Amino acid sequence: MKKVLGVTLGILTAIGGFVDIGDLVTNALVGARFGLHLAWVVIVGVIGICLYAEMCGRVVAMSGRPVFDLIRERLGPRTGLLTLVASFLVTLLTLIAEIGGVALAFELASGVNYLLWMPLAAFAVWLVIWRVKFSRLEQVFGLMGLLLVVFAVALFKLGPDWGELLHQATRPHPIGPEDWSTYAYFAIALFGAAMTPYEVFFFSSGGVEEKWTRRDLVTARSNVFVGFPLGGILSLAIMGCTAVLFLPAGIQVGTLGQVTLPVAVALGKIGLAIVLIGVFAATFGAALETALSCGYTIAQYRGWQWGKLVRPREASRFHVVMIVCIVLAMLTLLTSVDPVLVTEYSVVFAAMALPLTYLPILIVANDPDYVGKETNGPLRNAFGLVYLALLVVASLAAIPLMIITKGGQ
Amino acid sequence: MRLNDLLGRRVLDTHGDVIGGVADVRLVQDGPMLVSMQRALRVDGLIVVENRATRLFGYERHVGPELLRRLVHWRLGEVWYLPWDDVEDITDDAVTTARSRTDLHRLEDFARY
Amino acid sequence: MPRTPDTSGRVLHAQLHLLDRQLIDQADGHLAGKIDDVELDLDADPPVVAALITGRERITARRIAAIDTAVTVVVEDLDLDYYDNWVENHVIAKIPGAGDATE
Repeated sequence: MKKVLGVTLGILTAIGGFVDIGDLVTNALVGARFGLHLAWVVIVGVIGICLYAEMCGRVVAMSGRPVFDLIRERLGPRTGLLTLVASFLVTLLTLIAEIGGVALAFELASGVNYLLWMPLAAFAVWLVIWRVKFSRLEQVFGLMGLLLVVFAVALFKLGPDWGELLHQATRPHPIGPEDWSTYAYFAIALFGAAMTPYEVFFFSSGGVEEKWTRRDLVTARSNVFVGFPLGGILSLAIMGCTAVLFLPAGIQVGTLGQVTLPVAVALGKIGLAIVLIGVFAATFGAALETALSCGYTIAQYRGWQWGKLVRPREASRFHVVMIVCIVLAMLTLLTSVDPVLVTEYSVVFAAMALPLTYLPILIVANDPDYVGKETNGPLRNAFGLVYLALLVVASLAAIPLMIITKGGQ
Repeated sequence: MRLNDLLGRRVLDTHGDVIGGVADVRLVQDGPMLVSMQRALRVDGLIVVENRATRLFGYERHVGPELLRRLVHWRLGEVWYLPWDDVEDITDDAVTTARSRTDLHRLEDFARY
Repeated sequence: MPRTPDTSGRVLHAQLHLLDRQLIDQADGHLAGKIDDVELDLDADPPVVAALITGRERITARRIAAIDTAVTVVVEDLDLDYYDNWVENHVIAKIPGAGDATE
C-alpha cells in the first residue's frame, strides 16, 4: 500500500498541471471546437514535463536542493528575480482561479452562488495548508482527484466512433470555422499548461518535504512516470468527451456545468456526483499546489526557511506569504471576476517564466556537484534541448497569438 | 573587497588595453589554518573572459549539455586564467596585469577542476 | 612560466560555488538565507576569503563548516533569523497551532 501511496506527489502535481480549473475548461473547450485534432499537444506536453520533472526529482534526491535554489544560483539574483516575478504571478493568478474553481464546484453541487462559497473555500485551503501533514494532503487530494477518471468511463459509455476519434487525433490541423491562428493559440495554451512552472516548483519542493535522498531516486521517478501520464490521460478523456458530445452539434464550451455534462449524460446522477467530487478535489488540490508554490518560490529565492516539514513558527515568512496570497485571491474573486478568465491572463507571464525556469534545471541536471554520477545522458540532453527550444518558441508566439485571436475567439 | 565589485571589472594588460572582464575568482583551500581547523580559502587567481556580458553558467568546467556549453563559450570569447601573482594592481574600476594579451594562458591549460 | 597551482587543496570558483548558495545552520539544519556577497581580503598575504555576506549579516570565514550544494555555517550568536523572528512574534505566533508539528 505504501508503494501505491508513494506516487501521490506525482499525481497531485499532475492534477494541478493537467486538470486544474483552467485546464478542465480549456480541454473541454478544445474538444468541442477542434475534436481531437490537438490531442498530440497533450502528449508532447506530457513527455516534456516528465523529462524535466524527472530532472528536478533527481536533483532533489541527490542534493536536497529545490528548483528555485537552482534558478537563482545559475541565473544570478537579477535574472532570478525576473523569473521569480513572472512565475510568481502565474502561480498567484492560477491560485485565484483555483479557489474560484472550488467555489464553482460547490455552486454546481448546491445551487448556491459561488461568491458565497468563496470565503469558505479560501479558508479551507489555508486551514489544510496550516494543519494537514504534507503526505496526507498529497494522498487525499491526489487520489480523490483521480475520480476524474470518470470522464474516461463516460467516454466509453458514450459509445464514440473510435475510428473517427483516431482520424482526428492523427490529423494536426484546424477544422470547421477555426483557422491556424486559433489552432496555434490553443496548442500553445495546452503545451504551456502541461509544463506550467509551478508543477516543477511543487514537485521538487514536495521531494524535499518528503525528505528524498539518493535512495529515493526510484520513488522520484515512479512519481513522475505514473503521475504525469495519468494527468495527460485525464486531459484527453475530457477532450474526447466534448469532442463526441459537443463538436458534432457545434456547441461551444464555457462553463464548468458544460464541462461535466458529458459525464451526466453518459452515467447519470451517480456519474455527476462522482465528477463533482473529482472536480472539487482537483481544484482544491491545485489550490493547495499553487498556494504552497507561491510560498516555495519566494522563500527559496530569498533563502528563508520554508516547508511544512517544520513547525509553522519556524517558517514564519513562508506562511505569511501564503496567507497574504490566499487573502488576495479571495478579495480578487469577490470582485466577481470570472475565475477561468483569470488564467487567460496568466499566459502572458507564463511566456516569460517558462524558458527561464527550465534552462537552469537542464544545466544543473548535468552538474556533477549536484547529481554526482547521475548526470543527464546524451539522449536526455537532446530531448531537453528540443523542449527548451519549443518553450522559447511558445514563449515568443504566445502574446502575439493572444492578441491576434483575441484570447482564442 | 567584495566579490560583486570584483566581478565584471575590466582587465587591462600592460599596454593599458582592455583584455576582457573578471568572470570569476578561483579559490584554493590551502591558506592559513583557521580556528575551525579548516584551511582558509586562498585567492589563487582570476578567470577573465573576453566578452564581459555573459555569465559562465558553470561552463568554465567541462560539463554538459555540449550544445549549451559551446553556445556559452561562443558568447564568452576567449577564457583565460590570470594567476594572482600576475595581477599588478586593482584600481577604482579595473584590474591591471603586467602581462600582455598574448602572454595569457587559456583556462584549460591549468589543472582541470 | 606560469606558476603551477597547488592542487593539494580543494579548488572552488567563488561565483559558482559560493554566491547565491543556500546557507544552512550547522546546529539544526535550519535554512539561514542566501550568500549575497563574499568579502575578500586582498591585502592579506596570501589573499583569502574573509567572510560571507548575507543581507546585513557578516559570517566570518572561520564559521564555514562545509561547502557543498549549500554552505553550512556555525551560526552561534549571529542573528540570521531577525526578520523571520519578527514575523513569527507579531503574526504567526498569534494563530493557533503555530507551534504544532504536522509530522
